[in-house]
Amino acid sequence: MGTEVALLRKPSDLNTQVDNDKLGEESYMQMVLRRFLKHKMAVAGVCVISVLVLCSLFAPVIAPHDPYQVTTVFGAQPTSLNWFGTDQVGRDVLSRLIYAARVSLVVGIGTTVISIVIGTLLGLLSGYFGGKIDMIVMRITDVFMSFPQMMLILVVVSIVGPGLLNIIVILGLLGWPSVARLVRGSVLSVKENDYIKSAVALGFSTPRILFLHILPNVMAPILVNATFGIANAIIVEASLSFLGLGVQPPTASWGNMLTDAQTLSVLTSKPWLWLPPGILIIASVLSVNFIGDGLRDALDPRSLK
Amino acid sequence: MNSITRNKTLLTCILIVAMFAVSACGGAGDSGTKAKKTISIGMMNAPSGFNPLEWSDLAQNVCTAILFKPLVEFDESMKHQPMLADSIETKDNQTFIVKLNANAKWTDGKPVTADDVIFTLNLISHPKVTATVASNFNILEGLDGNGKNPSGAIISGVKKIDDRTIAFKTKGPIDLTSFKEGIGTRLKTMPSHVLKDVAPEKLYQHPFMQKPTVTNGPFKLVTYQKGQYVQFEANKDYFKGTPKLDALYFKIMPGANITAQLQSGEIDMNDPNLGMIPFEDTATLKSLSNVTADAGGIQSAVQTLMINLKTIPDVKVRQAISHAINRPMIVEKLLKGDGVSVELPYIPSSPFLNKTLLPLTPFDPEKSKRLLQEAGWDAGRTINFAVPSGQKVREQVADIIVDNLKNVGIKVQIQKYDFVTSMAKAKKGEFDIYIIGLTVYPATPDASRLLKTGEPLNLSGYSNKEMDDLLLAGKSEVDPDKRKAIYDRVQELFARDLPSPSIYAQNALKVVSKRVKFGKPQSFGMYNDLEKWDVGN
Repeated sequence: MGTEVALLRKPSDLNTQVDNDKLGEESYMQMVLRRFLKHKMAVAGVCVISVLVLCSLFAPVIAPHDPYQVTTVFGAQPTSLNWFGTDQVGRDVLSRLIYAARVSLVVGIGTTVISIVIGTLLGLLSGYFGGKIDMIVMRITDVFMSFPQMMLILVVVSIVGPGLLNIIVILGLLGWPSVARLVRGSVLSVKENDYIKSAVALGFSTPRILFLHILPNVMAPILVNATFGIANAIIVEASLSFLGLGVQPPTASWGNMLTDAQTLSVLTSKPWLWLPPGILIIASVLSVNFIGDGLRDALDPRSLK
Repeated sequence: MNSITRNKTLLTCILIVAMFAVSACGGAGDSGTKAKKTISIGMMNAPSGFNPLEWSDLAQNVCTAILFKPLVEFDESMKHQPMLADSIETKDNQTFIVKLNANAKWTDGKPVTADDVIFTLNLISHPKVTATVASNFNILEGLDGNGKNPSGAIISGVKKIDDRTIAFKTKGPIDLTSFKEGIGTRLKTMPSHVLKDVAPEKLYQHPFMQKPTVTNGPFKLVTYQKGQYVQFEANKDYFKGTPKLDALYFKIMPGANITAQLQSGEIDMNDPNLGMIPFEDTATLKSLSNVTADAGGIQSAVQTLMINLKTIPDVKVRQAISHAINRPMIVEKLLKGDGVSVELPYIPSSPFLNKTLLPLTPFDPEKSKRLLQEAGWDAGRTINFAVPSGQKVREQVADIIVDNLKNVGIKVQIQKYDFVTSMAKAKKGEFDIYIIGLTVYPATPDASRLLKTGEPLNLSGYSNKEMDDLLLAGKSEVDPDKRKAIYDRVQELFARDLPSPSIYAQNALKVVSKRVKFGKPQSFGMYNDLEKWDVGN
């Protein structure tokens, strides 16, 4: 166990001179946190995302109305009863916005988890073993990266059918190549370190070396990449839903709420139908990107002070 | 030194090319300044070509009916107006004498003759010619159920009497209106002297079908920029008079742009069947000073809820579904009154509607719940609702229907696909309920396409011997009272079995610029008098 812990905290060892194991762990995390908190935009991003997460977790409690309930007031202006008005079939816009946050976050996180798992696994194998495996994996990656993404997504969606789960799986299965490349690159440099060589010399099993000694040391770039992946997934889901190929109505998503704004009259005279979902898409994507920036700066050993 | 010389040469070349380009632009500008009378019409669907033997593409139909005049055309007065044919007459409801317009000629100066008409009919019925219009001709003697002539023999149902007169013979008696609707509006005569040497199996890909050079209508095709616009110019020798306009444009654009371009004056009107204006824009357009907007006239399509009889075999469930749908709310709130709620396959203004059956399934959630209970509906089951995307109002109606059905305890999952895909899936039976617009043909009561066994639009999979017999009898019944009785019974059976309840029919908004002196958007027969169309300045 002792050896493992020592190896696990390799980056901290490199960068801070603390003797006590426990203290070293804490101070590394503390330092990351301190540096992250310095990044004001990132902190703002965390706040926005926290609010959205809370909203989507407690949507049934927070939402003032049933988001699917068709009422008799169609396309009404914002009132004290419906803060953001009602949409064109009489559903409360605010409630739909709150429920739609669930969709966007689920798509963002679900997609990223899938692509990170696949990408990390393939990246680790390819970087660690090299040779033929590396060649094969990297060529597959090249093939995936050379597809025009949006076209491919549209075609696949029209074959397997639109829907939340399908969208997550498709985006997840298409998002891994960049992660795989990133991880492979990091693994290539990490595996040259002496502690990996000694682990091999000590006869540790390959999975143990891969997952307990290499993975923790390539985690930082993966985390940063994951945040950008989330932002990208939110945007792609919104685009697909806008095109009618994403989340299927009546389930609300920010993207399919925007489809209402496809006419001149709505654009000019009913801004409550399209401004809120538009702003939320921008806000959530910006926040996630800022968090990514903050994490990158905080985790980057080269900018340590 | 060398490189400087080369650069100089290059510069000179560029300058020369530029000079030519500038002078070319000048020339084009000069000819464009002549005051030409043109009208531009906005539409959403791009024609796939200009093949008069095709019937499945509405935009193409409109264009080919301008280039190749059909024998007759239907119009808003509910009558067929003579076009290429001066008259269609019958004494026994089985032999129809068609007299062609004596002045009709092709744009190359040759007269349009009975031989051209028979040549066209031979093309349509030729087994090797791809012609989706063919099935309409199956009423003619000598043609099979698909309107084809597999034996290749001379078609017994058509005879040339003289150069301008043709006699058609149908398999059985059929009333004149049905003949005019089935054959008269769909037979677009093609020039035999141009196409007679083309191999039938190659006709479909022949350049003539993409850019017809010899036509007989009021306008000639100049150019078609795929997906952007179709440009026509006047045919000065048109047999019903020289058109007053010089040019006609169909501009292809999304619905939102139609509103914007009507507002800016870039287009003069919309085609209500092809250029549907988003209904949210109704108020905007009605308030504009440069156009008149009107939602009157008869509805051109009935939105119908196909219920898959294989997956929902219990009629009580189908009744429950129909009772659960809040049609009045759809019409009042969503369509803002510019539409009607429909339950039977005929629009309310149709003379064939069996009014004694109405209201058939009025909005009644409690009754719906009761019916579901009696039918033993499994509350855990989720039904699949196929919705073609692209028509915003219908998509919103689908949202309302989902909520309506949820309120009575039926869980619904919407599956949206583009129209073509959704139709292909529906034909394979991959749906529980499917909403689709059925074009209204107000001239005839025939409902075979929807209710007859095996018909392509009978997507519910309805099959009933009595219904099939009635529909067959209705086609050949010429006595108006007997015919009415037949179609009343058809609707009774429909009401009893409810395979595909109708939901609503929307009034299309028709918008026309005030500079247009003659000519306006109409659901039926909009382009019948194209030669009289005129604009002020």
